[in-house]
Amino acid sequence: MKSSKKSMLMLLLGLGLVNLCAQKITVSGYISDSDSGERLIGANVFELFSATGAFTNEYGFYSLTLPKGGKLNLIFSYIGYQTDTFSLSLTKDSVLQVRLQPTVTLSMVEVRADTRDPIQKSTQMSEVDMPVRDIQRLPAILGEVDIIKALQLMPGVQGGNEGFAGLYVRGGSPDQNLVLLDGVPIYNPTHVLGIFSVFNPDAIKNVSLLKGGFPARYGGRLSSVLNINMKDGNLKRFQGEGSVSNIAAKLTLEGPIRKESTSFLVAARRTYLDAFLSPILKNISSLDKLQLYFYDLNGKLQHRINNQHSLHLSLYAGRDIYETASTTEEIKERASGGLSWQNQIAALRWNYNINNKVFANTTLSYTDYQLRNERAFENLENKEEIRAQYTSGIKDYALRTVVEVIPNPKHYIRLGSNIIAHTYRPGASTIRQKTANEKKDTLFGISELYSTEYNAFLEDDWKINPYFSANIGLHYAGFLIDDEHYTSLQPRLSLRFQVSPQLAFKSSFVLMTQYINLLSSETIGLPSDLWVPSTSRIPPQNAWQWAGGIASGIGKSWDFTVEGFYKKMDNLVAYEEGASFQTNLEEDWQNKVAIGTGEVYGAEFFLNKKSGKTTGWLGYTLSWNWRQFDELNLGRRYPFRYDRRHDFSLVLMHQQNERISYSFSWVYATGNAVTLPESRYALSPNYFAIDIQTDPEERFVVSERNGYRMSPTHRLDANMSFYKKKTNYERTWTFGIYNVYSRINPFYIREVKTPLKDPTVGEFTVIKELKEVGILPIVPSVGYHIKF
Amino acid sequence: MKNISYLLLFLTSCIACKGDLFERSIQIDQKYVGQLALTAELCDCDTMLTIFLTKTIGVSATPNYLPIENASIVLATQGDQYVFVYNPITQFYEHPTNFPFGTGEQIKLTVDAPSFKKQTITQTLPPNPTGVQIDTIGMLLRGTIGNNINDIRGGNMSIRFTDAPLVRNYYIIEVIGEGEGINLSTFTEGKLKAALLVSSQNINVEYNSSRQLFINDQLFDGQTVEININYLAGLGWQEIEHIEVRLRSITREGYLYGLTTSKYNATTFDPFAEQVISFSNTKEGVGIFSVSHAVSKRF
Repeated sequence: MKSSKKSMLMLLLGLGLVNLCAQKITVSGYISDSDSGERLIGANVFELFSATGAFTNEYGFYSLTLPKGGKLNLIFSYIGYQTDTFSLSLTKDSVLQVRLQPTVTLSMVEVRADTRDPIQKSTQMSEVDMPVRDIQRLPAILGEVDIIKALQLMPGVQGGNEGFAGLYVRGGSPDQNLVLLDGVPIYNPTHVLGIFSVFNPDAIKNVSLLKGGFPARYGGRLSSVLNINMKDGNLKRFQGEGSVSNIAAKLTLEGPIRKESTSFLVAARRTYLDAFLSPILKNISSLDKLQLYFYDLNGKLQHRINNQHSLHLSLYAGRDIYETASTTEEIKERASGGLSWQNQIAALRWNYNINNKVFANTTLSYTDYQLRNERAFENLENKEEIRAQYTSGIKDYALRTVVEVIPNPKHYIRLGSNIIAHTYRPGASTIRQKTANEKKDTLFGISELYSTEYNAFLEDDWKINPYFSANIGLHYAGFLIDDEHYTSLQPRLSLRFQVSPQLAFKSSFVLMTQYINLLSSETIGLPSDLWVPSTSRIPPQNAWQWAGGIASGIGKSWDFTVEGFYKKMDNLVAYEEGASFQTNLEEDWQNKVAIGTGEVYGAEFFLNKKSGKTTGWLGYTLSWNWRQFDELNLGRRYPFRYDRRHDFSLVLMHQQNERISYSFSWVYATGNAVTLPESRYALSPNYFAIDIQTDPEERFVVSERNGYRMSPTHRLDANMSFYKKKTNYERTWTFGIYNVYSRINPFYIREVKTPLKDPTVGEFTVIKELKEVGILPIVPSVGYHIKF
Repeated sequence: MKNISYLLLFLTSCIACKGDLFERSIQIDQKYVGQLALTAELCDCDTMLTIFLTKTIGVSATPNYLPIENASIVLATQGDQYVFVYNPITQFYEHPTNFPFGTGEQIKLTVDAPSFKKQTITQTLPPNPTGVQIDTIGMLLRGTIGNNINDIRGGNMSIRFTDAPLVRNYYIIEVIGEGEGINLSTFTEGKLKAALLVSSQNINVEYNSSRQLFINDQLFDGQTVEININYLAGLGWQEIEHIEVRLRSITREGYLYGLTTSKYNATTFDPFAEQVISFSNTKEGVGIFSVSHAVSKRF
């Protein structure tokens, strides 16, 4: 047996596990990090003589069935870790718990990625798997590294407005993304009205985004699955890391409660802009209250009962608070207002390794998203008060069980089911009036709605022969609301044909159904966003998507993929023209929406250099994104707001030596589509007033929804990091510049009126001008990170 | 480290010196400026038919509007032609007398204005509703209106009619008041004739612009329908002498134009409202030519 000094092998023979096939043996177990005990997702195990391999699942478990007899040469590998090789002679089923030694230390000069699964070997297509370590090296606005913004640099993924953490995948809208944190949906994954995402990278272990080719285990959304796993916590020793940047401070602590069996992780992040602004603004204005911050709290508890059972408790709470209040002393009045939203999730997961070929996990989860918008006026003298509050939100309780069966290396079968109880608060407004004599509350809108969603699935990742592999699955889903019961059967198919060791053709076809909708204004985002269910009047959203392309490994360092896709969506929901969430509050939201279709197609190109001193990628997306609603744009199809003909990104990361690294990213994207009046004219004076002779009314002409394009956005970001290892800790100074050449990337368009005096006659005329307004010019940042 | 700080400072200073960091002027409206704009919504209920013709101007331009004065406008029905003449005082092209519109009749408008392409737009008059009954419910608002907000300023009515089957029909209901009051556009006191505020809870009402109820027969094609409406005198009214209720059967184009125009106006000052796309049936220009037949009752 050959073993690395840095690795630890626990070979547990003779456990008496059932050998399901007399002529074969099964090797199974977990692959984890030798320093922390953290289990590794997607690590590779490969048997050299039989050329058979497997990967660890989402919980670090692997199972590999091999021909019995003879020697085995097992290679365990994972990106960023030293590869371990074991030569064994096994006669019966065995459990191998493998711990790999990380290579990423300060002494690392070259980023190694040759151990990663070659892209052409996997059946899954349209997948973005981004190591958190890469994300942390990318340039970041205000020094805040952001997972969703890193994903936006990938082809097929857009951020909506420049600088924002929106997620528009292959033309889908944000509600069509299933954003999962430890398997639990997060309904609004953004902070600061969308500028940052809610994920604290220090607490995150793994990030994976699926843009298409969805396996049957996923459902409930049309366009993407963003799967983010939190770290479990270090089982061996207490450790921590913290950082400060321009706007926020973070601290993460993890360690064993009981060594090797129970661990914890706590991570906190809070912005502190209000701490500086508040005293200044209070001095120079009538403001007496300013709250302007967000925070995130992540928690995780892990308890490994034995090699077969483990329990994991995941917690997250995050909140944005933007509140101001000012008092006018002269008239003794106090005006206050604010906007806040929060996400809370909790998940209790039980992992059960039933035997060496069967792995099960069951998760009981809770997620709650709430939005609150409040305005109040108080008369301080007579104690009268009027307070208007708008609230909306969604809350889920869910139970999910997934069983993974690996009967032999050719099949990887998953089956499971999920049930979710949804509670919606689709926009209730309360007006509260308080006078000296009475209190009066008036409620507009619906207070709560309930529905139940369930699904069951079966899928098989099948290696048919050395050339062909397929992922075949069926997803059955149902939705109950009031007396309505919707069901759908969704086939999923992904195929791979290996042309040569370096090249594979891939194709996929999926059918997806979505039972919940986010009603979102085209003119503004928050606070109008409203989660609503499908009802008897609003049928579920459906989509089918085809994708096809090639995946090629060029040498050991480079990957190249080209994918074409076509997605057709129906029963999409949008606000009707003229509808406003702020008016007619007592009106049913279903009367304010239109139902239509969407069509997206395009091609994505991705060239990735994954190892060497210099790594990075080049991504390009060419796409078209259309919507058609009978009630919108006079029934004509129109481009979606974030229809992007061209979307280009170039990312370079260079490790100069063990102390210094640089990274650059340059992005270019076609401008957002906007609806603008093109001209105006005088409407007949008696058009509205019947026979009254008045001045003609001004009529603006808006002939096409999203008929205009803002200027293209492009931006260069740069980042430089200095690492140093001290006696008891490692520290990193990071300097960055967002938007290096300060391009004005338009966020909105406004009309500016300037009075101009005519010197000849001395009269003023008003010059009107349209201006594109950007909100993020050059932004330098500095950050300090410490790990101990 | 110091060098990096200096570099950052230098870069920031250089870019800050280049001027406005946040805004850039753009021009978007030029190609749509100078087009023909037409308002020709003709109803056989009007005592004088009027057409308003202007040029489109830039969104950010300073003049309010530019009338076109020397165009030739001819309306052709089956067998007759009517020439509209420009009145420089009112700025309308006018035809001083009404003329009959026949159901199913094709009516063609030709507008020939210098510097513009000749426009020909055809409309077919929709079928009329039959058995129209307009009744008041309870007290009718008529007479002097006090300044007290609690004074009775409105009343209720019902309109009953049978829709022509197998064709999509479009209706607009208005209540027009005649009397004394203050014209809120000019702030002059005198005779008023203007649409009163209307509302209805009837499910067949597609949109209420507050002065017009827009109804299509999608839910009652070929059936008899009864619509209860409430009307209200708005600000400015001092005395109402007569009330006229009009049920107009209008072409699809006229209906869509009215609907989009009304929705646009209603949402102009609501920053949360979704934008409204303007309907137009004027080629290489903007605006509307539509015809409508009205059944009305005067109280």
